[in-house]
Amino acid sequence: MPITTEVVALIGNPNTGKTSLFNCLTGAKQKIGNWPGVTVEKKEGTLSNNKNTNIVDLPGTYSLDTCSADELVARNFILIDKPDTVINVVDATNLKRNLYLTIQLLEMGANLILALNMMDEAKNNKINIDILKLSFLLKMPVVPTTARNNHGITELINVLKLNKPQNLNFHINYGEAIENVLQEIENILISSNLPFLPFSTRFLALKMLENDNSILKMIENTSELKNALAICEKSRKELLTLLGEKLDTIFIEKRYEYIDTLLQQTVKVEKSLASITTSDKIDKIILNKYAGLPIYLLTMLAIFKFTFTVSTPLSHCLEILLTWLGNWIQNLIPDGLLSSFLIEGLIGGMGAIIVFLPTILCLYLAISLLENSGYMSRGAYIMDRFMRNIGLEGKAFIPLVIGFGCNVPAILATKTLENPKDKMITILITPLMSCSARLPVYALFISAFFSQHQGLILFSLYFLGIVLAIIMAKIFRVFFFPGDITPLVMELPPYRLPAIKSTFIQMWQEGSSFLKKVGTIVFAVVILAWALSNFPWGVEYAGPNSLIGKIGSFIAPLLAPLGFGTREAASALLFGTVAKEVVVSTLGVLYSASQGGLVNVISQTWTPLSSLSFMVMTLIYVPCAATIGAIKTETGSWKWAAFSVLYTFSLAWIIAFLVYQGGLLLGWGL
Amino acid sequence: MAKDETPLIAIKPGNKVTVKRIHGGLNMKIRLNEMGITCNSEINVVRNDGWGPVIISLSMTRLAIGRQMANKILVEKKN
Repeated sequence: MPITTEVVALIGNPNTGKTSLFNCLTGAKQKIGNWPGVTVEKKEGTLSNNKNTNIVDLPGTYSLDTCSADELVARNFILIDKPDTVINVVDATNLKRNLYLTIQLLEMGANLILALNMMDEAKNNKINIDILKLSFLLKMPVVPTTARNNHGITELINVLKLNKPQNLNFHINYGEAIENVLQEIENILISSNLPFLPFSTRFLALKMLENDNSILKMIENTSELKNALAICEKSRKELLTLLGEKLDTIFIEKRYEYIDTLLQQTVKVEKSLASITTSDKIDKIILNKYAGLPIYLLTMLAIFKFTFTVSTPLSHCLEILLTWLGNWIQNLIPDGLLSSFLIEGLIGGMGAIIVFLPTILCLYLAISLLENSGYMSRGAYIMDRFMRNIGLEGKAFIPLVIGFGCNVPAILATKTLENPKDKMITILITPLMSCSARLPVYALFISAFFSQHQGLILFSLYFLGIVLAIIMAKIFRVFFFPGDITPLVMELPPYRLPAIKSTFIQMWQEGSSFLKKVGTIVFAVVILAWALSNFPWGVEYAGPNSLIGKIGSFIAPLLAPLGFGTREAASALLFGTVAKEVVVSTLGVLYSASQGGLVNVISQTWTPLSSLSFMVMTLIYVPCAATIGAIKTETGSWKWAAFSVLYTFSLAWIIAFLVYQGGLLLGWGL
Repeated sequence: MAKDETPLIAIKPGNKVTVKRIHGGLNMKIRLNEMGITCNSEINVVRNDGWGPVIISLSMTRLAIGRQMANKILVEKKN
């Protein structure tokens, strides 16, 4: 007998503990990918004690009215892929709003199980839910759970095993006028002998009357339905005059009316909910008019410190390990093409990727703690008023701050931005945040020329990056992503202790999926750089006769107007695209000098003005390979990755040109 | 605007109000609706600093609403 795989979908509002529940059901074995055609993340896993049950985690969503890519993905999966069972995770303390999605799922004809999550909080708040009655009235299994403590998971799995496909024909009465029209449309649908459509006639009639774009698109070529569509068009106008309100609003109100009646029969609350909760007390301090901002900035600083303090020694350990491996190979294999490839190419390439892993794991840990504790949305609330001035939503602040440490995790952190336009703009301006890898370059040139003013020069460079980011954000908004900034409506979930196990699973999943996705790109670039500096075989490594040397000499004239039109500078910038700190080591190799000596060589062969221009260039030009990889991953397209390379290079050239030529005009060139 | 209807933006923290009308586009209305803010829902204003988003409570939920949007939600004060 062939083994049939059962598909279970998990759906629910944001902040309902859906991810925790998913982790409880599947354990650490999960596959993270993207839904086809969109950058919405797709998580899959199998039930931990039954490999034949596949669980798909759908994006968190408040409704299925398909305003966003997330909602469309979730809805299409349920309507078209038709999972055998849909587990709807709801927050038991917040049933009214959560059940709205449930109602929509029932109208779609999904085979539902309701997981009443956060039962512990419901109990603490004296919310008594008559589970049997709720299950009876909704005609579906209802399982109380507290995913954070693993409570109710076994029961949920048992119900899942027993649950049989049902034909419920769930029905909300939308009032006589609307029901008559619906009946009329349904009659046409039934009599017109429709080609196969994956949903009930009632649902189709409802969506046609609602004028739901994505459903209408599916049936626009069905000539049998022209008649029905015309009736919908006519009825919408008639109903508007008759009922005095838009249909969409009436549908929503009727659904809430149904929920209200349902809750009156099943939920009793012992104490008044309007009273002040612990979360409100914490908010009094954390969201305080004056203290809120400093507290938030300190938290950001702490995360920044945590990420880079914990990860730097770990990265070093990994580097030492790789160096040791390199030496071991060197002793084993005689000098030549093979050993050079293994050591500089392969191990060098692995090194370039692996050093990022600790940083990214630490950062994901911090972010998932922030998110799961409820502080993330508070930060968005606090920063919203400031970020709005530069045309971005409050949440965009986090990736930009992280960018000062490393652009790669910063770009991955844009995942938390829901609005795709805001996310794109944030991704594109993040490389202008001066990451820590650029610091060694500044340090070299500052010690050669500006040791008197090092604070001022450093500050100006960081400041220049921020100013350019603000300007570019405005430009991108106008030319590429026009439209108003999304008006803010955001839930501030109660503060919660994050579930440790789930947090670590999340951290590991995201981290390792980053390695897989970005690793290949970085690796390719490193191998390419290795080949360019060693071929034609036998030349001095990265010397004037190597391919990279020739390319360097070729592009040097392009850099001449910026004050550093030399082969050395050009090659260093080229290598810098692997990782920005490589600019320094390349200059070291090319000038054949050790670090101390390098400062001397530079101070003799460069001028203060040309070095200033070069620092500006290093700040702005071309994101490093790993960042380019991250941009590709998060935007889902090579086009935007290529665009980020082109625009940063052009911007860098223009600004460095202005600095150098402006300086010459002012007579600083001597 | 009816006599006793005030935009949410003008309500001081600590006041209990009833939502009367939501101006603005359909999308905004749907968004508020799906978050639980419908006509006749009773909400408490938790914070209103005079700048930055307004925070309201709706049974157990706390929602932050941008000022632009809060300006278009007309409410009636309860006694």
